[in-house]
Amino acid sequence: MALETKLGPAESELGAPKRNILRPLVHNRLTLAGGVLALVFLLLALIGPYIAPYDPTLVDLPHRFLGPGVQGHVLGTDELGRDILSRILAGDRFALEVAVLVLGIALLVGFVIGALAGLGNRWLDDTLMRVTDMFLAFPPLVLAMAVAAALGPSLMHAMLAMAIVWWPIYARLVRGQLLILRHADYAEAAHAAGATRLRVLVRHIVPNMLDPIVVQLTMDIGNAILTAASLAFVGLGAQPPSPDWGLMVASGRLYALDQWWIVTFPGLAILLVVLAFNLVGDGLRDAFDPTLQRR
Amino acid sequence: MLSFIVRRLGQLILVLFGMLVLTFLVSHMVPGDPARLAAGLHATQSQVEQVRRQFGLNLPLWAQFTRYADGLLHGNLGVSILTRDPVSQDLGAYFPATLEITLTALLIVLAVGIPLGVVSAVRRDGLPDHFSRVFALLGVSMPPFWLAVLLQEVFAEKLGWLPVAGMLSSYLTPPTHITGIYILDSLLTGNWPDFTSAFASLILPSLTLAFGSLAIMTRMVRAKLLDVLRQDFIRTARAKGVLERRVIYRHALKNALPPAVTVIGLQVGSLLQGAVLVEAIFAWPGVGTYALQASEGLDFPAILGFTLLVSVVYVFINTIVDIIYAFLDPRVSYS
Repeated sequence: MALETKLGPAESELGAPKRNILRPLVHNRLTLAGGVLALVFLLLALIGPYIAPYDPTLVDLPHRFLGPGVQGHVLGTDELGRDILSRILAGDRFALEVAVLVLGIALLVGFVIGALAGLGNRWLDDTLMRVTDMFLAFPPLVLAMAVAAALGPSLMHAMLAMAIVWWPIYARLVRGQLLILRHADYAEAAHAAGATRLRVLVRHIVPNMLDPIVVQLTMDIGNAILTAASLAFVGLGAQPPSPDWGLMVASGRLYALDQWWIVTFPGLAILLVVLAFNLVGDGLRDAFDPTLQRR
Repeated sequence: MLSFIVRRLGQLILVLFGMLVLTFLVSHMVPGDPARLAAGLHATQSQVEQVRRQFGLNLPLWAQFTRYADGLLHGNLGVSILTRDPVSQDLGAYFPATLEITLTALLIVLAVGIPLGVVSAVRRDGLPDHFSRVFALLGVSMPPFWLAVLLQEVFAEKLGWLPVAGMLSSYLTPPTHITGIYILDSLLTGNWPDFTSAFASLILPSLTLAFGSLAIMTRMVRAKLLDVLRQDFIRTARAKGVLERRVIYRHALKNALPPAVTVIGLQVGSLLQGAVLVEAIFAWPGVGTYALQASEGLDFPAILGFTLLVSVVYVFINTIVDIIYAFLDPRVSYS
């Protein structure tokens, strides 16, 4: 115990070198653009309700189908006269909330199962991984559809379905990282220096396994938003009048020929937010991986 | 090698069994009493009990499961609540249409993705490479349903070049049933008007479906080709004066494509499930449309049948791809 305390400060120096992850991120212009865009979407999700020019759910039939820029409606109004800009702002918060919740549950379940598999004995590992494989073998959108359809269409059920689809990815990731890092030189060195198993795990292994998880989470935010919007679009996710971008595209479809803005802007919002998080995820992956050559 | 195939098939059986359990459990998450639902609104208590015994709903869960699994092994997927036909028969009728857009999309992915990947690897950092990068980024970020709506709006509504939806113009009679795939059947029977209509109807849905996979395919071919082009045997080939064209197509591409097989397998799976969304938008009478109608009508046997069908095809394709890959690349370890 005394030895460990004495080694305390040196231990942190022995750990993985501190990297400046911001440098390569700023270096790559595409990643930077994605990062700025992602930050804008995050910021708008926070302040959106305060800067939205109208109530996103306010039905105003006399002013329906107004084009972009007409009577102060920057992006126009939809078939019920609701302001599209305000609905897109509300949809931003809505989409991010759904993504964060789904991924939070998926990460939690995946982390626990992955950790049990990675740290447990051979039998437990095999059993848990076979179960994980089964879930991974399902086509995700189809499984989500089946769950959402069996339970009845609602946002709650769609989110549950998505979490069921998503946790195996994290279980796999966590287990893989644990298996690699458990035998990393610095982990064994810390153990040899007298650190307890728990301390090695918490201080040395877990901080080092976060990188790939952060990359995966960043990419998945976009994917989760896309999946939630897809489920809503086919009627198995969020229900009207939720400000869901997928729903907005679905309802705007009927008027797409003459009132192109109703369907165009929400779709564009999805495209941009997914693109932004994909770019950041790509950039983070490159930044975290020192062995990766720039191609 | 043989033991690898046997073990891979063993895994397949395990996964299929897991799917069976999972779909069974999903069907039992259904809120409410299925016996009362099936017996109808005005059924008496004794009638409900009779239905319960008839469907085995009074049995313990494991006994219900063996009944369900036994039925499946005999090709019995139950009866659809909406169509009142056996689910297996319904799926058989709807599946060719799904196969038609999935295979067409796959063809587009291969025919466009491979050349585009080669060009962007060969002219690395050139204009085609930048184009393919932007294209790939758009491909993975584009909501397919939105792309579909935009394509419909431009090419069908505004320009009027292609049909908005459907598999065949409504004033034509479908070709004689041979495979169920209109474009093949019309070609086989020499039905020219049907063929042109089926072809035109196929363009927008299959393009929408192919878009995301195309981006992934292009990037994959590019990355693998760049890896191979850096290797010694390529330098040797160039040094001994082999034409650059030949170096790329005969030496490099031959080695770069096997890893792409894995991607193709994954893409078939994702095309198949993407078809569900695309079918819904283009009123394409495939299993996806069938499943969506079923989910609106709370038709569980139909949803389960659809889920099992797509999942089984998906898992089979992945297994086949693994085995093909082991054949193509002798370095894959079978142990």
